[in-house]
Formats: sequence, C-alpha cells, structure tokens
Amino acid sequence: MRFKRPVVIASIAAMTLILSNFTQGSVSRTDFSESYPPVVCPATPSGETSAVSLPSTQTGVRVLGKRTNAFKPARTLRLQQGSSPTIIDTKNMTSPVWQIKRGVWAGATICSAPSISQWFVGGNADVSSKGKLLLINSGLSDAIVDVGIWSESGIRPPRVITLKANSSIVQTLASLDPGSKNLAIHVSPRSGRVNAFMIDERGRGLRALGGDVVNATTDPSNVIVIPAIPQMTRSGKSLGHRLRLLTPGDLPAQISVELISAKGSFIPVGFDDRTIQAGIVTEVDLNPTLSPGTFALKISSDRPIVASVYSSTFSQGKTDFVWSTATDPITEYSLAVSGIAPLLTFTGEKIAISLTVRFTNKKEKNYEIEGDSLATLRVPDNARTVIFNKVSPNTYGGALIATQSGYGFFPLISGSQLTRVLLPSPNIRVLNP
Amino acid sequence: MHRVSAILVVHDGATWLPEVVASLASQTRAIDQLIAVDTGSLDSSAKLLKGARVPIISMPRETGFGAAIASAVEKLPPRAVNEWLWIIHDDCAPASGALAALLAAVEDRPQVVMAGPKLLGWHDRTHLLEIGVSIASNGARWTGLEDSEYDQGQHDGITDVLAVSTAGALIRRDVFEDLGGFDQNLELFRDDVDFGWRVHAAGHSVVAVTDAVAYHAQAAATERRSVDVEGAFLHRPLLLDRQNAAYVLLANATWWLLPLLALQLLTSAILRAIGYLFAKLPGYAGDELLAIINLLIKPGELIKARKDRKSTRLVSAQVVSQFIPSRARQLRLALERSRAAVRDLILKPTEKSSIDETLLDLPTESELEEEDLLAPIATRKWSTVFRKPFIVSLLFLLVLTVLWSRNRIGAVSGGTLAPSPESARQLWDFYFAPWHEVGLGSKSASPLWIPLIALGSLVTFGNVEVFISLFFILTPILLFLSMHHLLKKVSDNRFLTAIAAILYSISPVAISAVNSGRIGLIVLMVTAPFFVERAFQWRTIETFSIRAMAALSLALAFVFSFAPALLLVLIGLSVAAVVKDFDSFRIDQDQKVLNARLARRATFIFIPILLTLPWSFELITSPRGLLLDIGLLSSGGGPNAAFLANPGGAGSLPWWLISPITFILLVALFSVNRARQIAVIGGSLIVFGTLFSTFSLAGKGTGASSALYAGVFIALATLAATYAAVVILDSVRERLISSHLNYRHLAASGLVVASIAYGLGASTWIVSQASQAPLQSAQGEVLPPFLAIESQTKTLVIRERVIDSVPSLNYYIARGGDVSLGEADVVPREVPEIELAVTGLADGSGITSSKVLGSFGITYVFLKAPSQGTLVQTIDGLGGFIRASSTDAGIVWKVAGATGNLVLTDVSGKSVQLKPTDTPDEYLVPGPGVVTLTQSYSRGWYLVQDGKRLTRIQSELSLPQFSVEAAGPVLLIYDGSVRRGWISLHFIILLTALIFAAPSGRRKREISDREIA
Repeated sequence: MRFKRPVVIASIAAMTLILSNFTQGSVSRTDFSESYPPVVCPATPSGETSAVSLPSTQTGVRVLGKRTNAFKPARTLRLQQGSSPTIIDTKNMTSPVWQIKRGVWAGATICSAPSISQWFVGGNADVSSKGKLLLINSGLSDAIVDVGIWSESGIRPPRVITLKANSSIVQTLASLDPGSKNLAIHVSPRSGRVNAFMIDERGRGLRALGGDVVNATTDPSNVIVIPAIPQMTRSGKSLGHRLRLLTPGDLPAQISVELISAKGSFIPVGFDDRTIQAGIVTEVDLNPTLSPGTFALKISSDRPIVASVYSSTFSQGKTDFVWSTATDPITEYSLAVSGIAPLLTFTGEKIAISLTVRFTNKKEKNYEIEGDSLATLRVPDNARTVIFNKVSPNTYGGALIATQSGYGFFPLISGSQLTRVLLPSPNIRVLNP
Repeated sequence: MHRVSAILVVHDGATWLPEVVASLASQTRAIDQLIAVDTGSLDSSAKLLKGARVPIISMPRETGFGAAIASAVEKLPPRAVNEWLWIIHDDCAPASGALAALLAAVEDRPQVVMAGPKLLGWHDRTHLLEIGVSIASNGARWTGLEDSEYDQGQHDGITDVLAVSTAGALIRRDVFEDLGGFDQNLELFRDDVDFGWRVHAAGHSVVAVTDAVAYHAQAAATERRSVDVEGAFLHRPLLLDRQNAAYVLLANATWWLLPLLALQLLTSAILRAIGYLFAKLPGYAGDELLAIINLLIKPGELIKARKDRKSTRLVSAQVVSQFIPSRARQLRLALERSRAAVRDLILKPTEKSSIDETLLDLPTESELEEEDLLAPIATRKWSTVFRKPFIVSLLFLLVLTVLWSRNRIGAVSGGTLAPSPESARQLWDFYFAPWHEVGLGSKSASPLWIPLIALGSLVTFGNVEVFISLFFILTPILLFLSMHHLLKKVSDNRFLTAIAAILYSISPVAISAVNSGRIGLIVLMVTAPFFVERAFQWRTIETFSIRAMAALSLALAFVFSFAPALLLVLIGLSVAAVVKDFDSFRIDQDQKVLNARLARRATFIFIPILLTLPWSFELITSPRGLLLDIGLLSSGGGPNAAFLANPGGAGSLPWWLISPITFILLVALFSVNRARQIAVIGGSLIVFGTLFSTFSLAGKGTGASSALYAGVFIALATLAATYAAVVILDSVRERLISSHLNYRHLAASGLVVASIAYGLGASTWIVSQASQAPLQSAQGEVLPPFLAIESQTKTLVIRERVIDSVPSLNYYIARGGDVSLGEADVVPREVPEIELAVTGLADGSGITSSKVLGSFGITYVFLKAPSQGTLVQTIDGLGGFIRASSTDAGIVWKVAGATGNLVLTDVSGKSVQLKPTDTPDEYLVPGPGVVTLTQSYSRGWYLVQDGKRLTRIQSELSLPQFSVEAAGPVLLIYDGSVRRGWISLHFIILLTALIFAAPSGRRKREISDREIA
C-alpha cells in the first residue's frame, strides 16, 4: 500500500491528540468557599429604640459581648435591638435597621458586614452635637482602628482606637474634633472585624433639632451618585438641602453636580465646574426649585471625592433631617422590609429593574420598573422582602422612610456581599521567593 | 692499576645470557676474572655458561642476590690492591666500553667506591632506565627520569648519586667486604640503594658514569621470571620490592625520622592499594599492604639491621638527604606525568585523523623551495575565524545568553529551583542528615543530585549559589557544545551542524528548562548527546564489555538522579528491545546471545537503581516521584503543547511559537535512511510525552494536583529530531541538486523555513521576555528576618499567589527560613488536621484552628503580603491568634497557647513548653506527664532520661509522645543509624561500580616487551 505509512502516522497522531484531550483531567487548582459573612447591626443608644427587619424568623442572631458565639433563631421578623450590637446571619438578605428617638428623630441604616474602609460624611461636633460614632469589633481578637477626621478646618490628627475582642465602644462626635460644624470621618481598621456606625443627633439646649443615622459611603471616587434625596416643602417653601463634600487628596477638585429629578436632569446654578478645596469639608447650599418628591445627585469630579446631602424634612407634623449618602450601583440582592414601608428611589440613565415583593402572607408580586432618570416604588405595608431579580447596570438606589418620629434613608446595597474565599492548600512553593 | 673481578649472577637467564656473556667478552678493557653464580636455574643457563667456559658456582634456587654475591666473593682469591667487583646480572649486557669508562671515572676519584653505568632498555636501546637511583620518602624507587624518557645524552656526565643499580655496578672490593656486602635480608630489589646509603654513611661516594652504558631487561621487576628467593613471601615481586623499600628506609634513616617515615609508608601503601583496586589489580593492592604488615610483624630484623649499620657508620645517615628527592620534586614529577597522560588521552590520534590525507599529496622538497621563493608570504587574517559557522554560532549564542541571563546575575531561584545554600558544606550536611527540618520534619532520603551539586560547586570553590547561577547562564552554551560534539560526527557540513546545535540549545524544552529552573532536565539535555553513540549499539548490547556496562550504568545513574523520569524511558526502550531480542532469537536460535542481551538490559535498569540507593528505593515504593521533576513542583502545559514539543508551563514559549521538532520527526518518518529509525524513537517519545501530559499529580509538598511536565520525553524527542534533521539534510542535499522539483524539495525547504522562523521567533521571545521568567536573581526572602531568626520555630506561612493566571491560596510550615535546595524532595506527607485548621482560618470556621496549630508546635501564622483584607479580617475574627506585627512584608499572628518543639502535658491536662538547657538537645521536664514532640512520627526519635529510653507512642495527631515518670533533664535524640547504613551500602556499591568502570591495569607480565621498552 503506497499510502499505508502516512495513514498510520496520521492515525497515531490523531489518536494521541484525541485521547489526550479527552482524558486530560480537569485540574482544579483553585477551590473556593462561598459564604455571606454575618452582618452587624448597631446597638441602640439609651433613650432610643431600634428594630431590625429580618427576612425570616429562623434568622440566626447573637448579641455581641456574650460568651457564646453561637447563633440562635430570632423567632421574629422584627427584632427589637438591645443596647448591645447584634450579629445576625442573614445569608444573602439585607436587613435595615430603623432607629428612632420617639417623637424626636428617626434614622435608618443597614446591618452590614465588617469592612476595611468606611467613610462617614455627616455629623457635627459643635455645641449642638449629640452625635456618636459607634465602633464594633465582632472578631475574637483585639482590633486597632484608625479614625481619620476632616472638618471645615482641615484634616485632624488621626485617632487610633483599640477595641477588645467581641466588644464595642461609643465615641461622641464632639470629642473627635470639638467645635467643628462639618465632619467627615474615615474609619479604617488595621486589624479586627470592625463595623462603624454614625448617629448625627443635634439639639440646642433642651430643644431637639433632629437626628439621623449617617450611612457609610463608598470610598472616594470621581463619580458619585446620591440616589434618594427627599424634596420637601413646608408652607409651600422648599426646606432646603446642604451638599457636604470632601476631597481627601492633596489637590483641589473641580466638580460638576447634576440634579436628576423625575422631570429631567440639570445642573443647578453655581454647581458647574466648582472648585472644592482639598482636605477641607465644604458645605454648599442646594435649593433647587422642585416640586415635592425625591431627586438624585450625580457629582462628577476630576479628583476622588466623598459627598452626602443633608436635607431638612417635615413629615407627619414633625421636623427632622436626613443624610442621603452616596451608594454603589444596585446588584441583585434581597432586602428585608418587615415593619417598614420604604419609598425606593432609583436613578440611572436607563432604569430597568425587575423585582419581587414577598408579603407576610407569603404571596408575591412582581414589579417591572423602567425609567430614564429617576423612578420610585413604594413598598406595600405588609411586605416582608423585596427581591431584586434583575437590575440594569449603573442603576443606583436608596430608600426613604417617613414616620411620625422623623425621616430616614438607607442605601439599596447588599449588607453582606457574597465572599468567595480561596481555600488554602499546602504548597511548599510559598517558601520560595 | 686496577683489578676487576666480574661476578655474574644467573637465575633462569638463558634468554639474555648469550648476549650478556658476549658483551663481557668484548669489553675494551678486559675483565681480569669472571665468575658466575647460578642460583638453581631451571633453564639452559648453566649449560650456556659451561659452554662459554665461565666458572660457575651452583647454589640453591632460593638463594638471594646478596648471598649469591657473597658466595662468589668468598670464592675469589684474596683481595688485591685496587681490586674492583663488577656485578653483572644475567639480563644486563654492558656495552663494550662500559668497564673502561667506569674505571676511568674512578681513576682520579679516590672517594668513589661504587660506580654504575647508564642503564638503557634491553629492547628499546634509546629508553633511559636509570642514571643512578635513589629512594623517595614513601619508598618509591626514584630515578628522577620521566616515563619512557628518550636518551639524547641530556643527562650525560659523571654525577654523584645515592646508589647505582647492581646491574653493572663496579664496587671496590675492600669497601664491599668492610661493609659486609649486600644486606642478605634484601634477597632481591633495593639492595643497591641500601648499599649505596651505607657507602655514603661510611664516608665514601657513589657515581653514575654515563660513558659506561649497559642494557638491562629488568626481568625480575617486570615479572619476566619468577622470584624464588627464600624471603620472597608468596613469590610476588611487587610485595618483595615494597617490603624491601620500607626496610631500606627504616634501617638507614635517622631514628627520629622513623615515626614519620612509618606513617608515610603506611599511607602511601594504602593510597597505592586503592589505586590498584581501581585498576582492578587486587593482587598488587594486597602486595602493597602485605609488604608493610610483613615488615612490621618482624621488628627484630630491623633492629639488628640498624645496629649493623651503626657499626659501620662514620657520618650521619642524613648525609644522603641531598639525594633523597624532596616532596616538591616528587609532586612536580607526578604532575608532569599526569599532564602527559591527559595530553596523550586528548591528543591521541583518532583512526580518522591518524592518516592525514594531505600528506599523501605533499610537494617535493624542490617544489617547496620553489614555492618559498615565488609565493608571497601567506598571512592568515584573524577575521577568517569568524567565517567558521561554529565560531559564529557560538558568538551568536553568547550574545543571546548574555541578554537572556540579564536578570540572573547573582543567586538565582524561582520556578522549580529553590534558593541555594551559600556553601557546599550545607548541601553535604543535608545529604547525610537522617532527619530534615522541613515542614513537620522528614526522614526521607536526600536525593543523590544534592551531593552531585555539592561536588560540582568545587569549581566555584564550594560556593553553590555562584555554581548554580553559572550553570544556568552557561546552559545554552553547554547544550550547543554537547549537541555539536555529537552532530559533527554525523555530518561534515559545519554550517548544518552549528545551526542544528543552536536550535537544540534554544529548543522549547531548553528554554522552558532554563526559565523555570529545571536543573535536572538541563543535566539530561547536556549529557544526552553523549549517550547517542552507545544508544545505536543498543540492539547488539551483548558486545558491551563489563567495564563499558559499569561506566554506562554510572552515567545513567548520574542522569537518573537528576531526571527520575529517565527510568521510565529506559524501561520503555528495554521492553521494546527485549521484544526485538526474542524476534532475533526465533530466527537465529542463539540462546547465549539472548541470555547475554537480557542480562545486560536488566543491568541497565537495576544498576542505576542500586547506584542511587536509598533515594531510588523510596522512588520505587512511591512511584509518583518518577513522574515528577526534581525540585519544586511546577505544572506543565498539557498535551497539545507537548505534541508540539513544548512542555509548557511557567517560563515556556507561548503556544503560537511552534518549533519544527514535531514536523522534523514527521518528515523523518518518511526518510529512507537512519533518520527514520531515529524518528520512530523520537515520535514515540512525543506520543508518550503527550499522553503523559494529560495526567495531573500532587506531591513534593504540594496538595493541589498539577499537570505533569513531560520535559524528559520532549527533551529526548528534541534530541532525536535535531539528529534526524542533520542526517536528512546532510544526505539529501546532493540529491536535491541533481533532481527535478519534487516533494523532497518541498519537505526540505519547509523544514529549513520552519527552523529559521522558529529560531528568529524564539530568540526574540527569549530576549524580550527574559525579565518575566520565573527564574530570577535577587528574589528577596519570604520570611521576614525577625521570624527567620528563630531557627527552630515553626511558622505557618500563608500566601496568596497567582499560578498560571489562576489565583490560589497556599500555605506551608516554615522552619526558620525559606525553602532550600533539595528540601522539596524530602517533604513529609501532608497532615489533614493542619489542612483543616488552615481551611478554617480562611473561611472563618476555624474556631479551634489555633488549638490545632498549637498542637503541632506552630508558633506563628504569617500572612505574606500582598493579601486581601478579607482574609486578614477573618483571621482577626477568629480567637486564638494574637497580632504580633503588621509590616510591608506581611502580618504575623502569634498562636495562643503553649507551643514549641517539646510540650509536656501533666496529669491535670495542663500543657507547658519544655525549655532547653545549656546542653545541646537537652530539655528540663518539670514533672511527670506525657511529653509530645511536635515533629512527624518516626521510630528514630528517642527521649532519654537518666540513661534510659522512655516509652514512645504515636499520638492521635501522629506525633511522637513519651511518658515521663519524674522531673529532670531529658535528652532528645534522633537515631540516624539506618541512614548511615544506607549511605555506607550506597558508597560500597558506588565504589564497586567505579572500580569496574575504571580502566583496567595490567600486570607487568602481561605487558609486552615492546611496550616495556
């Protein structure tokens, strides 16, 4: 056979390649362990009450500072928070905390996993300040936390605070930078599992001026979106807002603020190409002529900045203020809303959200939210969870809650991100430079 | 007026006697009297003497030389004034003018009482044997001449010497008798030196007279006749010579030199015995040792000899020191001889070059003269050197190597290569150590490549770092030279051989081996071309001599110790060859040949295994080691890359830079010459390498599986392809020129184009990507100094790494430093409990992690930077880990609880760490309890208290535990007897193989007269 040899050689080569590619063991050199870390909810200061919306009565709960580290079922959908922080195992659900000083103020935040960097743009430290910074170490080793402080006077020497294992401390804002009117604080733990929460409560003498929980914002960035700012009027007059900004770097930032409302977007007068001094907390009045409702801000800057908006509110005959903070884009997640009926506000260039509201009677209702710049959804009263099934990219969201005690805001972000942990394997090569 | 009485001593000398007698008769100065002494000759010596009318004294066959002379002197008439004795051996023929010259020399030298001729060879009469003789301090007979020195009159003259040979020696009779003649304890050999020494001690002189010439056959010394003298134990000439040499030195030397001389004699006897053993002459080796023993067991003879010499001594025995060669002179001569031997070995004319073809067409002398006048002076430009393909290729490779190695100047590590220790001594210590402080400790045998690297580092004066660095820098050059050495025997086309050698040195597998620090693979690639010639004789293996088998086994063991997978290739080739052997047997039915072949093939499998014991034993009991390269584990690139002769993995060429290796093998499979045979082997290796690459394996301190690296198979396939390419192109060139365009033209041009394209592409890639290679210098250290300073402390090092673009989190237990060369080859097995505890650290579930890690004596957890904050938070969140530091290098936690090397758990369950005392390896136990040693369990561990071994058990965590009954110091011991036993056995096997592989020496009687001449 003239072609016998080529055929044999080609067959062997083909067989070798086919056999080797089919039998090649898929080498998984990386194993992961995926989990949602337990989240920490802030303690309730004395004189206040707070409740945590839980996704399930079986949600594991443990109180910080106790000797036992075991989680116990909550047996309720609305956990009354005690004087110690609570650690809850909500898996992929996010639990908001609704905190009130009855008849004085209200505020909201979310229970969140320990973080290595938290920015708080809000609060003051002057004579009216009754605000607090709550630091919680949920780890079983001591923690060391750096607290960076900025005010209208510039940057202050950082505070280094040591927390014992499984404990928390409360630091009054007035003690951080006495006399300062505008604060911005950066909490960055050197070690430990640390959460921080800020409460901005104000009063003049015996007169309460309101209060709010200042939510932590994302790290400084060049584009910031504050998705839900309540626009309220009293006696036909806008209650006004103040935009607080900080450029933590060494160089001033040129910013441009775009106001996004249901009726369109625009740049308010004086907010185009405005210079913000570096290292100084700047507050700017923002009084847009808008009908009551909500609006959002998109701030573009040539330097990384942090920002939030202080809004005076009037709800159910009660004046208060609320801090609307910047958030990250919404991702697919679930939000426990037992006992609260927040107004969800979304902003983005092209909003397309598919969500499911699950009610306490176990019924479900699907919502498709679409819009160009701003969209809102009022969560029904008897809702238990809101599940974000599909969210268009670069869509931001915040939730506003109004009660008799006051007004509150919390960002629509997951309190506990799915953590993908590399599982370690022995390899002596780690000792090879 | 002198009177000369010649004494001829005869012992089976019929071979030489006719010429000897004739020479005596033809002396220009006639002998006054001749007397012969026959010591029981069995041949026709006596008959010949009688025929020549020489008076004979017959004596027993066992009579010694001295006794024979004494007997003859007794028979002579009373001594006359100026009477001289001329001692003649039956194998020594003086030239006709010898006696006259000797007498002339002594005529005006009254102090001279002994004179000897210049001794030339019997067969080659230009071969200078002796002009006087002396003795070296180690007993060697010293002539001061080079081996086979040609007599050109360079030593001519009358010179003072210590002694002259008794063959042809002229001795004044009165002095001879006064000194008691030759010492009769020296029946044969060295009696001349002894007598000369005594002559000097008596205040006289000895001269060598080169005008007097004698031709000496040295029949006894060269074992041309048996030695039958009474004192010759076992009748062995060498034994007698060595014994007498020692006797002469010890009987004549100054008393205070005796201890030194005795030691020197013993040492040199042992060294010479070892040399003879390597030359496979055990008889001679025995002679050396027996000679010394034989002398030392009879001290009485020596004492009497010294007393006798004292009675005749007029001056100090040190008077002869001027004639004893200094050690420097002895060393110089030894070096010159070695140099000459090496030169002969190197410059030995090959069969091909022995006949210079150009000589066949040499111009005549007249033509030369005309040419000289007419032709201009030919000056060869130095630039012509650079037209030689070999030189140009080498220069190109040098430039490439410099660029390639720009990040490897200094101590290198990375890839599979761990950092090297500074000195070779550390490698030796590692090799001999029975217990290795790696991970939780290991008793695995160190691989044989460790001492080989230590030996190699001798070239850099024991600096291993420099040696390894140089090795990797020079690798392309070494690969080029070794391949070119092979290819130049295949083709005379130097352009072709040089290009092929370059392609071999920058082949994908070579690049991968260099870039990923695969020292073993490089050793294989450098040495493999030297095996090719032998490999072609693989079919007719029965023709291999035992010496060749031993040498080849040693070489294979050498390569095997660097590239374990070679054993698989060897087994594969052997199985294929055995099948062929049986095929041949079915045809020729030659059982003897079949048996010889099978035995030899088995030898090539088993001897390298034996030669690498006990490491090979562990490989066989755990065969995964055969599949993994030496050093740290690093994965290969999978089957598709392997099929293209690229082993893949870190530091390898990208897939799109396809080498022509596989293409060459494919083309060669259609060849009709030898290339096809080679391509079958090369192609098979590619197929096996491809299939091999499909598997994954963990090991060598790595828990996760890695794709196997088929470097060994691909390296041998690359060698085969390069060889085949040269064979094809060398033979096909003429055919292509003479034929019309056909598929051969296409194949050849395709091959050339592919090779050039690959060469350019690979060179560019090498230069541009050199800084990305895993093997680099100045890689820093993993452990920060404050952790490395505690050498015994165990630190769990966690590191996030990206391996082949895949993130991974790895850990290992450091023992006071980074991993070092060889440690990856002796790692202990992974401990599941530790693996679980570390997993708990990472995912946050490890509430008991600190307790578990503490149980294994792990004191610190070190998270090497850079690392993700989440892991830090997780560890912080777990109890039992106390932050010790946080630096740029990483974060350190101290593990809570009592941890250390030895932990005592008392009856209440409380644990305390045992503190060492000032005595090494001693610890103080505060009370009774159970002592846990936080090392891997091994039966070699002992805890000794009050001289008694404490009971040892294995804990649940597989750690050794000892029950301690009372407080007091305890001694921690690891018994290394087993390791020492293995090393001794290995040494014996290695020595035996070396002896078999060494060139065989020949007994003197086996050397032909012509060669001796």
